Parts: sequence; C-alpha cells; structure tokens
Amino acid sequence: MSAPGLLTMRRARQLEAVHRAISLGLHAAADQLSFFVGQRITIEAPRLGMCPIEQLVECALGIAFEEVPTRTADAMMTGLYLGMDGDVQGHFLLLLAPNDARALVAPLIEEVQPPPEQREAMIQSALGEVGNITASGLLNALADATKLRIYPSCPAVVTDMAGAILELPLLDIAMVAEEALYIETSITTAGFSATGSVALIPHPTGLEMLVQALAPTPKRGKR
Amino acid sequence: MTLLTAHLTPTDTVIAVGIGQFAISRDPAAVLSAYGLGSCVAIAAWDPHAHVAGLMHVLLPEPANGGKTESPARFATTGVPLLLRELEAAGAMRSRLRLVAAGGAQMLGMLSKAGAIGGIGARNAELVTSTLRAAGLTLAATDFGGTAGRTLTLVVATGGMTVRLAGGTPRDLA
Repeated sequence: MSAPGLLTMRRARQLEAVHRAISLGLHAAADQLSFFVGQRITIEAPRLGMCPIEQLVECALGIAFEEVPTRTADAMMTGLYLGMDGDVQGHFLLLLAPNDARALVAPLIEEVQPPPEQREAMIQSALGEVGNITASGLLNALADATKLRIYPSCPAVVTDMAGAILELPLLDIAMVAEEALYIETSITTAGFSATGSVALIPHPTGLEMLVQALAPTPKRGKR
Repeated sequence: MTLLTAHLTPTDTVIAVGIGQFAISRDPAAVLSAYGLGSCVAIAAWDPHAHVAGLMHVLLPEPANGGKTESPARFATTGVPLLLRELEAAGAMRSRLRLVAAGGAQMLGMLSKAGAIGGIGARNAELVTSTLRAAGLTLAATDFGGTAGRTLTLVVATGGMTVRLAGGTPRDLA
C-alpha cells in the first residue's frame, strides 16, 4: 500500500487531466456568474488532489496548506450546496465568507429594490441562483468534456460553521472511501476579493468515471 | 461542581481535533477543540484526579460492514471504546471520568430530512450515549440537536468544557 498523498505516475497524470477539465469548467462557470451578477468574476483552481477524509475540512478551507492557520473549521461561511446525480454522483459546494456572499448579490438586490420584509428572502434566493449557475457551468463543462451525464440538484443555501457545512458530503463519502478529491480555489471580482472555495466531491465511483473518461487507464495485454 | 469557561491565553496550545480523530492530553497548557460540529458528535472526557483529558470527534453512528473498520474514531460505536482505552492508558480511571458530548444537529434542513443522511445527527447522539452506558458511564451534560453548528472545547488544566453555537458565545457545559 502506498503512503497517503503519494500517487503513482499514472494516477498523477489522470488527476492532472481531471484538474484541467475542472479548471476549464470553473472558467465557464465564472463567465456565467459574471453575467448574472453584472461584474467580472474569476475563479481559479491552482491545486487539486486527494485528501484523507479526516482532513477534508482543512483541505477544502485551505487551512491544511497554511503554516500558521488563519482560521478554524468553525469560521462562519455561507455554503451554496447542490447534489450531483447521473453517471457522476456526489456533492458540489461553493463556500464564501458570509459578507462576500451578500456583497456578490448586492447589486442585484439594489436593482430590484424589494420591500424590507422580502429583502432577506430575495438575498437567499439570489445566492441559491449563484450556486446554481456556478455548479451548472462547471458540471455542464465536465459533462461535455467526458460525455457523461451529470445532473445538479436544486440549490440549498446555508450559513453556518464551515466544518458543519462540509459534513454533509463527508457523511456520504466516509461510508465508502478513505480519501476524497479536493480543489483549492480562489474567487476574485473586480469590486473586491472574495474569500471562497469550491468543493467538488464526487463519489469514488463517480471520480473513476471522470478519470476513465478523461485519461483512461490503458488495457494490459497478455505477456 | 462549577466549571470554568475556557479563557484562552496566548500560551495555550490549541489542539484541533478533526473529523474521525481524537486527542489525549496531560499538558496543562493544552486546550482540545472540536471545531464546527454539525451532525458529528464530540465527546469530551476529563479525569480530575489524574488531570488526563480526551476529546473525540465522530462522524457516523456505526461502521457499515458488521462493525469492522480501519478508522474506529470515525464511528460512535467503535470510537467510544477506543477513547476510553486511550484515556486509561494515559492514567485516567473510568469511574472518575467527567464526560460531556455535543453535536448531533440536523444540517442543511430540507436536504438532510430526506434519505439516509436524515437523522444521522440524532443517531450519532443516541449511539454515543448508549455505547457509554454499555460501558457503565453516563454523560454529565450534553448539547445535542438543533440545526446549527457547534464547537466543543476542553481545557486540560481545569477540565473546563464549553460549547459555542454558530454565531453565539461560549457557555459552560455542566
């Protein structure tokens, strides 16, 4: 058995192919999101890898890569969550600092000028749409690149401790896997730099579908 | 017994106990913390005589395949006995342990109501409690349920155990 974190050359190449496809998908998602909120948004994914279940929260928050962690897993975050179904089952989560999430949709809300009693519901609804657009942009690009069927569920918006939000995908994955895919992401806008990250956590079988569609393992012939 | 609220000083070493992990400490400068518990449950234990503290952060009620697992701290039924063994190995006595547990919330409301994920928080709380009971132990205090995240903190020097709800301030669990 190889040590955790060590990958075979082939596995590393396969994950690179997944990383490229996800990066392209996130660029597509950022374009659609920019159009929705009316300001330029970029989403970059500088790093992707496999992370032990025990450290997935720290990996998804970026804490695992900091020498001196700048926050703890109980930092308040707004999570925009969608489930994935079809050939690739799993979870999509866009995590944003609560103030950044609200600032992102503020121009939309100002445009509508809702009555005060409807304002909060409208912010939540707009945030759900941000999750929807980002997930759809990413998953459609992945589906196109792999010819797999990937369907996002309806979005859910939750503001809570980051660790508590990330548990939902973990509950599902921890029964069947020892490690999960994580994507380190940065989200920036013209107006401000948002603190955020995207977690795309496919089921182990879904991850294999992605890997085999993007960088198939060559079939071994008889010697 | 009155418990002291966990006041951190700059010299305190905070040990973050992640999902499926546990920590045992006799270091008077250490503070054990399970951050951002949702449906997870953290169990804190302290022996006031031996000054041994332990904290475990379980994710799921029990392993799927007949109770066997490579990651015992991930599950309530396998984690609780492991925590007790490790506390005893560090010099604690079961009969002296002060035990509290927190977590077991229902996260993401409408989503987690459906399917297998619904009710995991309540089941985690139930199995932590019943596994301790089977070992002859009871929880001195609990903070289970609801729909918000929590952080459970244990100060090794004093045995002070506090819980903080998302958006709230720490309060003593006693």
